[in-house]
Amino acid sequence: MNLRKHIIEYSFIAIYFGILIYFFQNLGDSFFSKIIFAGALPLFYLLWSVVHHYFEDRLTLHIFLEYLSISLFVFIILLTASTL
Amino acid sequence: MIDLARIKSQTSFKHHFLPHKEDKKRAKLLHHNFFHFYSAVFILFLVLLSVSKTLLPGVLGYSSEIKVSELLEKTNEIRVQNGLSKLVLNEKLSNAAKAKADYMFKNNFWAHTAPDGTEPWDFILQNNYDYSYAGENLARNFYYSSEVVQAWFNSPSHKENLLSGNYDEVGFAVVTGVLDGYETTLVVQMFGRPKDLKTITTLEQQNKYLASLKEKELLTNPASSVQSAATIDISAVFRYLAFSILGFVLALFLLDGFYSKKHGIDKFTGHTTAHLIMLVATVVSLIVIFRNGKIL
Repeated sequence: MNLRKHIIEYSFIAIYFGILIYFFQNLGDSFFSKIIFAGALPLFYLLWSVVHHYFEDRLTLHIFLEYLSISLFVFIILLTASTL
Repeated sequence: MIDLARIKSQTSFKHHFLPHKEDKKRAKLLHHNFFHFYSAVFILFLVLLSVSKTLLPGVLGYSSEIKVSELLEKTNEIRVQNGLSKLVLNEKLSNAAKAKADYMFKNNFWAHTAPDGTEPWDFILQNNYDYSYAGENLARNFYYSSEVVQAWFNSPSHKENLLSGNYDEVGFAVVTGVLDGYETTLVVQMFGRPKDLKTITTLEQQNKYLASLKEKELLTNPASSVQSAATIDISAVFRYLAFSILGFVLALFLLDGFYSKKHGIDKFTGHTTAHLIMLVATVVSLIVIFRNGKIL
């Protein structure tokens, strides 16, 4: 866990998630807003991972699949929660 | 003699939870194929939900412990804190609220205006409440009365009703039924000011009505006076499932990170810290989603 090396990138995603959750909390309770939120959180994460690993010159299929599977997992959890 | 097969099997099991130094990979339980398995658990949950909703309507639902007396108390608490007079509980408005809740269950909708165009005011007028001002707040899937009133207070449009100086009376209905296949507790709050101010409910009338309501609650649920107790609370089942799996995965990532650092394993994988941030954000998001029921 090389925290210091990537502190700016980690802070960026943490701040983005914080802002997204804050806005979601104030968006109201519509099913539509929940679906948007369920998609926006993992989609951004996946995009971030591609860009980040591309510039690190470490973007491989294995790494992409790792991020894709986590993003899908998060999307399915949030989607299920939104339908309840 | 060294039992190589046994050692190999033990090492292999260990690497389900710990990263592999030679392979430069994460613990097997964190491989993407295992994430597909975790995702499949939730997809199965979704499928079971939709199947049971159709085959066993009313078996799944949301438990609730909401009481009219508490709703009135919390509403008035907020009004007094904001320098407004207390509202008195009106039987006609409560009957209108009950009629609205029954109508929503009967016609399977959740909205201020029914699909056939019936307005909240229609229920108020049908119950012989001639009003000069009227309003309606709706809520569903809450567990406690205080959560309902707080959620209304947090929403600007509902807050406007709660803190309006145009109302003198209020009516509540807490009704349990099956909506969209789930057993659900609906809360309807109706506000009003009668055209004839002389007809405003007195405190004595209110207390008499409250006492009769409490009696009804005890008769319906003698053991606990709980409004609703669905056979299976889907929200709770999902929360246990989601937080257990997320907790397990989070713990594995933490273990993976610390073990790799301690043993100098330079894995060729994605960033553990980034995954941890994502999973923590998911946990926070779930808390936000489940903190409140729904209001309208």
